[in-house]
This record gives sequence, C-alpha cells and structure tokens, in this order.
Amino acid sequence: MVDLTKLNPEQLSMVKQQFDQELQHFSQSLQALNVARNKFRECKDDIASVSKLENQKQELLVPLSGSLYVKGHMKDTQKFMVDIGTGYYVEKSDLEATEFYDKKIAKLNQESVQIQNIIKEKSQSSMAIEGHIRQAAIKLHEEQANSAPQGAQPKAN
Amino acid sequence: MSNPAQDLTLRYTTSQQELEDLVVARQKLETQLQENKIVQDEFDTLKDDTKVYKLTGNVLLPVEQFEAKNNVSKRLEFISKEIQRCEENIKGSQAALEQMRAELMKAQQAAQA
Repeated sequence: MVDLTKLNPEQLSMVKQQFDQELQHFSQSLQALNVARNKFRECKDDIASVSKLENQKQELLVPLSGSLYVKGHMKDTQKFMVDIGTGYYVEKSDLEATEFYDKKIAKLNQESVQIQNIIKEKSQSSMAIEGHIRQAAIKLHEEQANSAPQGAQPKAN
Repeated sequence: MSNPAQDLTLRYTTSQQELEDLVVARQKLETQLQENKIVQDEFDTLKDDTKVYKLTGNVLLPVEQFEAKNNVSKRLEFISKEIQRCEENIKGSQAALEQMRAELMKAQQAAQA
C-alpha cells in the first residue's frame, strides 16, 4: 500500500478516481445480481401458482408469435422445463424446480453480501482519500502563503 | 517529431489496442467457462432418467442426457484450451509492449539530448 500522505493532490485524485471507477463497477454488478435474483424469485412464484391443484386442465392461450395465439390447456402442471444455462433445459418436478431456484437465490444472496462488503470497504477508502486530498490542498496552500512573504522580502531590499 | 519515432508511437498504440481486445476476449471466455461449469454441475446432480432438452432456435429439442453431458465437457475442454491460448497471447503482447515502451523512452531521450 502506498503511503497516501506522501502523494501530491494530483496523484491523490488519480487514486480516488480509480477507486470510484471500481466502486461504480461493483455497484453495477450488485444491480445485475439483484435483477437476476428477482427473476429467479418470479420463477419460483410461477411454479407455486401453476402447480396448484385447481390448475389441472386449466385453459390458456399459447403464444405462437407476439400477436398470434391458439387455445390450449395445461397438460401437466407438475413438470417444468428449467433453463440451466447455455441453452440446455432439464425436466424437473415442482419441488425439484423450486429447490433449484432456491439454491440459485441463496448463491446470489451470498455473492450480494460479498459485493456489498467490498463496496463498503471501497467507499470508505474513497472517503479517506478525499480527506487526504483536502489535507494536502490545505498544506500546499499554507506552504504557498508562508513562502510568498519570504520571496517578497529580497525584492523589497 | 521524426518519422521513425512516429512509426513507433503508432505501433505502440495499435499493440495497446490489440492487448485490450485480448483482455476482453479473455473475460468473455471466463464467462463462458463459468456458465458451462454451472451447467455441468447441474448435469451431475440429475437422475439417469431425467429428460434434457436443448434450445435450438425457438424450439426445445429433446437430447440424450449422456450426449448433453459429453457436449458440455467437450466445450469446457475447448474453452480451457482457448483460455490458455489467449493468456499466452496476452503475455506475448505485454512483452512486446514493454519492449516498445523501452524503445520509445530511448528515442525520447535521444530527441532531448
């Protein structure tokens, strides 16, 4: 770790900029995580509502395209095709599918906590650097104020 | 600025761009690797009679489970190899950039002297 007190204000603000960039990157990641988590939660809710007993033989409209539908009915409300990534889908029972999404959500929660901790750390560092910048600026100001009269004296003589 | 120096600067910037592209490619490969790993983990937990489908265009086509497993492990192999290749390229590119930077510094010093 570089000693922050030894850097000049310009270098400090560069360091701060870097921290802020990283901070932004992590915030975006956190947001993406939350979006993904919400999607999984919706899937879970959908499973819960579709697998209810009264939905057996439930009629519905099947979209053939965005503006074309045909009538259909639920043939099997206990089996779901779950997207597991890279275009592969796996047939799961309602319980298995719910378990699958629970696992995903738990994993995302874990990662979300990790990222939140990182963000907390980074923003504290960013704030500390800002403090250093202010101090460095004050010091520079004082030095200039002190050196100005001394520089003026020889001229007066 | 003399012509060789200009040449060098130009080559330096193009190499820098190349390195950046390589890094982006490396990140993309990493994403693919992770996604395929997740799929493989999921495949490992499947029962033998679980049906697997592959999304082709807009249609889910049934595939044999072992075929899907083979496919994913082959993909993982391929991606790992690509990552290795990409990292070698990155190393090479970084070394070339380092050398050019040294040459640039020398040229700059020569110009100042």
